[in-house]
This record gives sequence, structure tokens and C-alpha cells, in this order.
Amino acid sequence: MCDKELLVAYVYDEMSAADRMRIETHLRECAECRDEIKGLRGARVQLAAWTPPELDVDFQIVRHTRGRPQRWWSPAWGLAAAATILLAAAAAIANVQVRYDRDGVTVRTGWARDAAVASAPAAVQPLSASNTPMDAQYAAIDRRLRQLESAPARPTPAAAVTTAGLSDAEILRRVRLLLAQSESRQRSELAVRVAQIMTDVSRQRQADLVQIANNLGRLEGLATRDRVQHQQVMDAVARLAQQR
Amino acid sequence: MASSDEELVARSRGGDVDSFNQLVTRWERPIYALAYRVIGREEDARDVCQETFLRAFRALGGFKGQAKFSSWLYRITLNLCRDWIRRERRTPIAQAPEGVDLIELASESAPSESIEELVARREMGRAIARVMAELPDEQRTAIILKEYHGLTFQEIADLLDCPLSTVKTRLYQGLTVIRRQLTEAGVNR
Repeated sequence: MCDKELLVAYVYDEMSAADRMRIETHLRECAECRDEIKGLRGARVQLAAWTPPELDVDFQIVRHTRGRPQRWWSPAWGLAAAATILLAAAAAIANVQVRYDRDGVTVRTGWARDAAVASAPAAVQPLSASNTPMDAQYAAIDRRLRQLESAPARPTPAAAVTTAGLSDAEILRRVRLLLAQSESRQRSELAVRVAQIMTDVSRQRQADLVQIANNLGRLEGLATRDRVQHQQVMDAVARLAQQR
Repeated sequence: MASSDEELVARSRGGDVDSFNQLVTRWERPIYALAYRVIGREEDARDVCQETFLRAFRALGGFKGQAKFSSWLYRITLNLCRDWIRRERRTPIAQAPEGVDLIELASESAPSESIEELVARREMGRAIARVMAELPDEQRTAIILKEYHGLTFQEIADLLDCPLSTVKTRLYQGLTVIRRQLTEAGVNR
């Protein structure tokens, strides 16, 4: 009797040339081992009939982001913008110091630094003596607010400035104006986003309709194929019945 | 030109999920087939297949490429199958429906294969499944890896952590039992 390991290696053709020559020489003389080889090969052929069912797993690895997804239209976004503007306005009117002396009323505030740098008494003008044009004042406020928005955390040195005709009411009015402009910008952006979403939804709907149409076509094809196969089976059964 | 397993693994290790999904697509059928033949249950084999890839994905950082990626997957799968068998405390089941659905059979037939031939092939498959389920685990696993996955004796020995000669012995014993039992069942041809 041959070495079993050599027989298996020969059946699977996984051996050295020298071993193959050796076993083939042996097989010419040994009928028992020839039968063994034949039986092992037969078992291998039969094993091929065992097939697993069709796999319909088709899964994929998906990487999830942590936490809830950010939405562009989150209320927090608008609140943050409003808060930024309010902080800017608050910063602008912070450090307000009102002093009244013989030179008139002096207001020290965080904005209109240009005028404040020259803090000598000569720069201090009476509250009622403002000659600054309104447009220039507005531009100065706007510039300062933009600076504060871009760097809200950096402290701004207080500077002396004349009131230049800007009352608290006027400041509040301008802040309200800026807030209104900001809200208007947000509304415009919201309208653009909504339009974009509507376009996306419409596009997805079109794609879904096409997919549904394709699936319906495929189902119709499958139904036709099933009918044909059913007929073939019935024919086969009829043939078998006739033969018997 | 398709990327090799090694290239896809390298990219996956760098965080490229798409590359790993290409590996999943490439290997899910062999892994599922291995799990199905070892544990014999379709649904559980599907779960094992999915769990294999999840574990591989999580452990990718620890895979240094000493072995082939496929061998690594096979090892994970076999470990999961062993856990399943231990947990279920039962031998693999030869899952075979009693009734033969002719309509279903007809849909599986190759164009050149008659219904009669198809029925015979299915019968043989069921008989093989029953015989394989009765084999000892180590013989069944060795035959599955050799016959259906084409591994070399050495690769099987590495996977099963046993000597080369043990692999050959298990194959010989397993094939001999299959041959004898099929003959006794009258399905030997």
C-alpha cells in the first residue's frame, strides 16, 4: 500500500517531479493504489455538485460622521449672525464716558478712533457744534462695525471723540438699519437656498421616475421569462408522463 | 486595470473606504461560500460573511501584510464559523428543502442542461451536503479550503495551524468517507 499522503498529493497534483515519478512507477504495479486514486478522484468530481445558494448580500462599508449633520438653514446660523451684529453694536457703544466741562460735552467711545486720536482739548468740540456730514458719519460707523465683525474678540482701545452730533437715538437708529440690512441679506440667501433645494428635489424625482420605469420594465421581462419557463416545465412533465 | 488586493489594502489603511468596498465586492462571494459550506445555514452564513468584513475593516490597521489578504479573511471567517458552531452547540446543518420546486429548478438550469439533469445535479448536491455535515470539523474544513477555494496544502496548514502532513491526512480521510457514504447512499456515479 502506498503512502496516503503521497496519494493525496498525487490526486491534487501538488508534489515534486521526483515524487510524481516515484508514485507513477508504483501505480503501474499496484492495482489497489490505482483503485484508491480512482475513488479519490471520483469523490472530487462529485464534490463539484455542491454549490452554495446565490448570495444577495451586497453590503458596503459606510463611514458615518459623528453627531447630527449640520444644516445650512439651522436657526443657530441666523442667531449667530444677529448675535455678532449686536455684539458689534454693543462693543461700539461700550466704554462710553460722558464728561461735561467748560469745553462742552465729551463722549469717549470705542469707535470713531480717527477723531479720537487727537485727544487734545482742541479736538473736543461742543455737542451742538457738529459740522460732519451725515454720509461720512454713516461710512465711519459702517467701517468700524465691519472691523469689529471681522475681529470681535480683540479689544479696541477707547478713544476720546466728540459726539459729532450722534445722539443715542441716532446710534440706535443706525444699528437698527444695519440689522435690517443683515436680515435682508439673510432672506435673499434663504431664497437662493430654497430655490436650489427645489431644483435638487425635482432632479431626484425625475431620477426616481426613470428608476421606477426601468424596474417595471425588468419585472415585465421576468414575468415573461417565468411564463416561458413554466411552459418548458409543463412540457417536460408531459414528456415524462408520456414516456411512463 | 484592476488594483491588486495589496494596493487596495494599502489605500484602505490610509482611510479610503471605497478601496475597502472594492475588496468587499471582490471577496464577498468566496467568503460567503466558505461560511455556508462550513456551517450549512444560508442566513447565518450571510451574517458571518458580513461580520468578517466588518472585523477586517476594524482590524485593518493591524494587518501588516505578512499573509495574503484572502488568507487573512479566511482565517477571520473560520474563527467566526467556529464560534458559531460552539455557540449553537450543534454540527453544521445540511440545509436542503424536502420538496423540489420545478419552476425554481428551471430558472437555475443552464441552457444545455435538461430538467432531468438538473434534478440529478441538485440531488447530488444535497447528498454531498449531508455527507459533509457528518464529517469531523477538521476534515470538512480542509476539504472545503482545498476543493472550493483552491488553497495549497501549505496555505491550509498555515490557516489551521497544523503540520502539512496533517492536512494531507485529513484530506485523504475526508475524501475516503465521502466516497464510501455516497456509494452506500446509492448516489455514487
